[in-house]
Amino acid sequence: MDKDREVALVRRCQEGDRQAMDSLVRLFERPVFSAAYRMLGNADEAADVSQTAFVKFFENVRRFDPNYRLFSWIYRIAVNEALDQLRRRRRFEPLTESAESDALDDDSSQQAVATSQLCREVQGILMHLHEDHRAVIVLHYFSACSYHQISEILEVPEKTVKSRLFSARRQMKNLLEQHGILSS
Amino acid sequence: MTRAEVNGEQEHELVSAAVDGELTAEQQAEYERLLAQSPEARRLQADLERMATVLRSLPPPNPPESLHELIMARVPVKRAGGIFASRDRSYTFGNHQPSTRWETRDSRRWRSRTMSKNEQKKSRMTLIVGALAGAIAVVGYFGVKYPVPGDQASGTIAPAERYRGEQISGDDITLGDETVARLMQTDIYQLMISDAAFAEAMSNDAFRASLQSEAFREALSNDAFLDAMKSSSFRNVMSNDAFLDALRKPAFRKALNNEAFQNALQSDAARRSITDRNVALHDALASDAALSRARAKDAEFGDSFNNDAFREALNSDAFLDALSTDAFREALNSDAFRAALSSDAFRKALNSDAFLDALSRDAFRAALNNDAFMGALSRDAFQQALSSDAFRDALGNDAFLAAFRNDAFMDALRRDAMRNARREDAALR
Repeated sequence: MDKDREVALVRRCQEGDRQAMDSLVRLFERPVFSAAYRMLGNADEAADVSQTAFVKFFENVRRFDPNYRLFSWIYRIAVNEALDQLRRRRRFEPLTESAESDALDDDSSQQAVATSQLCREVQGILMHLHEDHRAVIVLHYFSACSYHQISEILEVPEKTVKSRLFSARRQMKNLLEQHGILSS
Repeated sequence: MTRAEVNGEQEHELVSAAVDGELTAEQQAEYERLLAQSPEARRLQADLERMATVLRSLPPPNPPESLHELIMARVPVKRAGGIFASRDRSYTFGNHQPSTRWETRDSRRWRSRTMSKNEQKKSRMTLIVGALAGAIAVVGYFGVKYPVPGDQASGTIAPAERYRGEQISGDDITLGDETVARLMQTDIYQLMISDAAFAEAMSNDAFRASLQSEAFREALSNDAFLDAMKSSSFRNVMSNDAFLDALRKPAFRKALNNEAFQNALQSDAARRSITDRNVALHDALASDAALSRARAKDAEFGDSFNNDAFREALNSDAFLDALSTDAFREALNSDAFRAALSSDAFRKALNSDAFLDALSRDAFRAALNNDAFMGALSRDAFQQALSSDAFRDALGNDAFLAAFRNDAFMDALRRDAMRNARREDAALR
């Protein structure tokens, strides 16, 4: 979506236009859910984080700074919510195993099972990374964000993004190799 | 930090930026120089690309179907004065700790503004009465039960423990099928990931799913298929929607092991046929008999697939219908039929509506199982007859086709005189 359409959509949301809100949610609900799921490894929590992220977005839509890209702002809220959820999880409860697989395809064909297995392995590896590192990997590889966009979303300098990506990739590569997903 | 480390880090940053598509114009030349000089840099580039391919090839997780409705149900509504107020209800998924009920200062302010003084007073009163009732209950309970006699009191004093969630360890992750991982270590995979057409194909779910299929991987172990993949035109086919759609079908993946079919795929006509009428073609080509013949690398049969007329025929409903019949597939196993396929006249006939119409008739297909007819097919005279409009029209005639079932007629077909006679258009009208 180009910048002008983005600004127009936000303006309609600011005016309380439900249709515009609906369009905006449709536009971003899947990528937001996907990023939250990659961060949390749990579909239930990712869905809850997605809801909260949109509610917060609309509650604060009047303060939207048009200098930012819309998706950067929504992602920022979603990633922060996911990080909060991780902190809450550490305090309160374990991750339920059943919820981990909810977001994976339930197709039982051989290739679907193999893909699902690979997804599970990679998600398990992601969960080994430090949250800061996981966030840059998720935003870069799964949300296709540039260094600049990641720096906007995480509110850190681009240099920090590069440095985190450097460390995260090194760790990720080692883990993927250890699990036979990449050759050493 | 040593100079070597500094250089190493700078090189890593440069290669990473290149793989991530973040190189500036000035860095581009520097990067190309580095790649040309440093095997380390080339290795790093390959590593980063492989990792990116693995991660980006994963399908996105599926959100719950009701997610949109649940989000919209919680989206705040606008109140007078431009204030948004949440219509928050506690929607949670599963049994995890629900997120904190969310309320902004705006919505609190809105609520206090819109409540009347009486309502606020009533609300406060309810709270006070509730608190008093709670206090009386607590005092009553402990007043009756306590103190507990010493002989009834027992227990252990232990420090309160806060729950710590278990972390995933290496033991929790089990390896599945490693075939894809092994494929990623081959030269052809390197070629594939550096190719734009292949990269586009990789973004398609069907293609990624196919990578996991045994038939597709078997095709990848086939030299002819890998050679075909080295051609950009074939890789372009791989990013074709129709091809990717066809890949979903097990029969088609099996057909990919057919060298002639792989060659045929490079034609626009064949690709169109996949788009429009793929089921019959896939089923036909997945026939064991036809495939085993093709696997024998029969040059003439392969040539047929590479022939424009044959590929055009692949666009024909009648031909594809015929292909899906057992009789036609059996015919593919016949030397005579394949010899006929390699003849220009026969292939030209394939472009004829009359011939294709004949192909769609049971009688004609039944004839394909007849040795005499097949023998006749491979004769020059018969093939020349096929180039005659009248003969092809006659093939559309049920009576003429019925004659194929007649032994005497088939014997006659063998005779040159009869074949020559059929070349006379007038005699056939």
